[in-house]
Amino acid sequence: MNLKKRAMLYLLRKRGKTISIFILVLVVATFLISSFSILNASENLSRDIRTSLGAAFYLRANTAVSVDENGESTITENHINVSENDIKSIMNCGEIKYYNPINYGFAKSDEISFIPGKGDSKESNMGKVTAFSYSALATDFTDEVLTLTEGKHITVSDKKQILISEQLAQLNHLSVGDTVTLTHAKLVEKNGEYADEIKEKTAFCTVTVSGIYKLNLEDTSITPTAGVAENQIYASSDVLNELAESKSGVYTGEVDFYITDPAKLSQTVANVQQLQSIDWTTHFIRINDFQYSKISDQLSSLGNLMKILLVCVSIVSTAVLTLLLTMRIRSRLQEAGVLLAAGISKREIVGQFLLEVLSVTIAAFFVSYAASCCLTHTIDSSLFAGINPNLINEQTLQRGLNTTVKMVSYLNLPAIKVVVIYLCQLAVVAASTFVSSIMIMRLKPKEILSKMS
Amino acid sequence: MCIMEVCNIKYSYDGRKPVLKKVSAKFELGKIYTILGPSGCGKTTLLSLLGALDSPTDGQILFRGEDIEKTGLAAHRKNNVAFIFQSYNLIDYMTPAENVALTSKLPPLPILERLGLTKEEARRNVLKLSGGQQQRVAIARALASDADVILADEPTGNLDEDTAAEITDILKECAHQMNKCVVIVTHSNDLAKQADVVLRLKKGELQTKVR
Repeated sequence: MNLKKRAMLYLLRKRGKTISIFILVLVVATFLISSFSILNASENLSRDIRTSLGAAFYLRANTAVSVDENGESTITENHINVSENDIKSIMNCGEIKYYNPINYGFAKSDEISFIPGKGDSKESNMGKVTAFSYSALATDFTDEVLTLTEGKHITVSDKKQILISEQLAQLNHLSVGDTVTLTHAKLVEKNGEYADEIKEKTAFCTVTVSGIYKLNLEDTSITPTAGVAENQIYASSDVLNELAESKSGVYTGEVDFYITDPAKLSQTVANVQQLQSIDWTTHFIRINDFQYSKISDQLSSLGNLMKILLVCVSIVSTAVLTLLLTMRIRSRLQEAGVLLAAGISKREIVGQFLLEVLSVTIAAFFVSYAASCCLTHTIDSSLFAGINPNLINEQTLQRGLNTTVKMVSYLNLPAIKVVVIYLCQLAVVAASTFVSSIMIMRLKPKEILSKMS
Repeated sequence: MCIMEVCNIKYSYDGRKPVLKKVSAKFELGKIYTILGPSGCGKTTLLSLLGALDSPTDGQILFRGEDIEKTGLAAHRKNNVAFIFQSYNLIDYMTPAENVALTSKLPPLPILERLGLTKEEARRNVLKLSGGQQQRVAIARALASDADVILADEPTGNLDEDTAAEITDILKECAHQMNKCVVIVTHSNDLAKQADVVLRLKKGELQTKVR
């Protein structure tokens, strides 16, 4: 009778022992694959965050404070003066992925009635317009002060598109896809009353409602109509150009830059500050990597937890598996003695033990793969649900960065890693069996038979 | 015909106190040999040395004139000798037929039937058989291996008188009709009476008595 048949008979007839090994290997393999999946997911997520949103810096204008002879101070907000050429120079200073130039202005429309603010009148009924290339990158959206509820965000390729608030849309019966004509306006305050400085309207722009947003925070400030948060209009860059409130390629609001790797933020900013073309007496840079640090803390904790868990699972499972296999082999001392007495070689006996264990192990691996898939999906919803990686890509720039990215792709361990983990486990199982067998096989047949009796 | 010979073998467990002192004996085909002696005198040790389960401290064991150390102990166990143990030592997850097939390519059922097991019994788990039936399976396994020498350690030690007598008859049949050399270690004088040659071990030395 050859060793394959003996192994098969053992596995079939000693079902209890076979099932116990199968369950142990299944549990260990499932935990290991799941743990490695989560570790892999956190590493990939961390990498994606580092290389996508990573960090940002904002080029802004200084605020001028002047004191008159009466000792009264006046705060004047300056405008930046950055051209496309300046932006190109800045983009060459590091691994900058996107830039978002911003202009500010005001707009009125015969078709829109704005939500009244302090001292509202027909003349001052206007909304503030913020025009940029990517609305999804606006701080209000990334900080979740605003959330896009309908439609899509504005991207650099969009022309004559706006985003309006739910309240403004409801008041004016507007929905996504509707068009309205805006005209230019400029808010001024005269004798405590708000007015529109542009009396004669010469610039008009017909825009399409691209999306509708909701405010997540209640605005309790007392401001003129144009300052009411619900009246804020987010527009594509060309809208203010059409309304003759800005010039194409010249940005007066601020310019936000998003870099690939937050680790390189300081160096990139230092490079930018070396540029002579920008007047640094009137401009300054504010850096912002809070998105990364906020998430990286979670990821770092998760990664460390997973590493500790993995080490514990690996050590405990290897110890338990080795112990069980040693006990199992030792319980087969009698069989080994009988087979040796029958002239069956030690190599064949060890081969039989190995074949049995490896067959069960491989069968357990197949089941463990399916089990670990189920487990990782459960872990996905409990561990990764709160993490928002804000990956910048064409999809998220349209949909909004705060849309939770599905973690399924992260938790799917690459096949090569699964194979390596299984091979390592197979090696542990084989080594445990081999070492346990060798401890017996080093005895003389007579010693084995003496132990039996 | 002398099939096996032990020449001046010595054996000690710790290298000091010898269990066997210069033991020599010859074994022939077609005969039953019993090894008698008090407990601890080295009977089972001598049987183990004959079966190449262990090696002597000194001296030689020859099979058909060749030193078994040189031809290989595992090969000697596989080709030349077969064991029957007091505690049967059957593989517990196999049927009698499968136990017999362990050492032989011959069909196991005819051998088992010849030793008194039915076809149904031959397909049961060995642990579901009586002691006598299990010992018959062990003998069948020894016979199926086609070895010239059968080494039996207290083969009737766990059996009742009637069953022991049946087993003894089977062993006699093995020697006298199948031309095997059967070496039996026993405490039983009844079994010793059936032997052709009685070897008595005393204080590590062997005395031979031929009937």
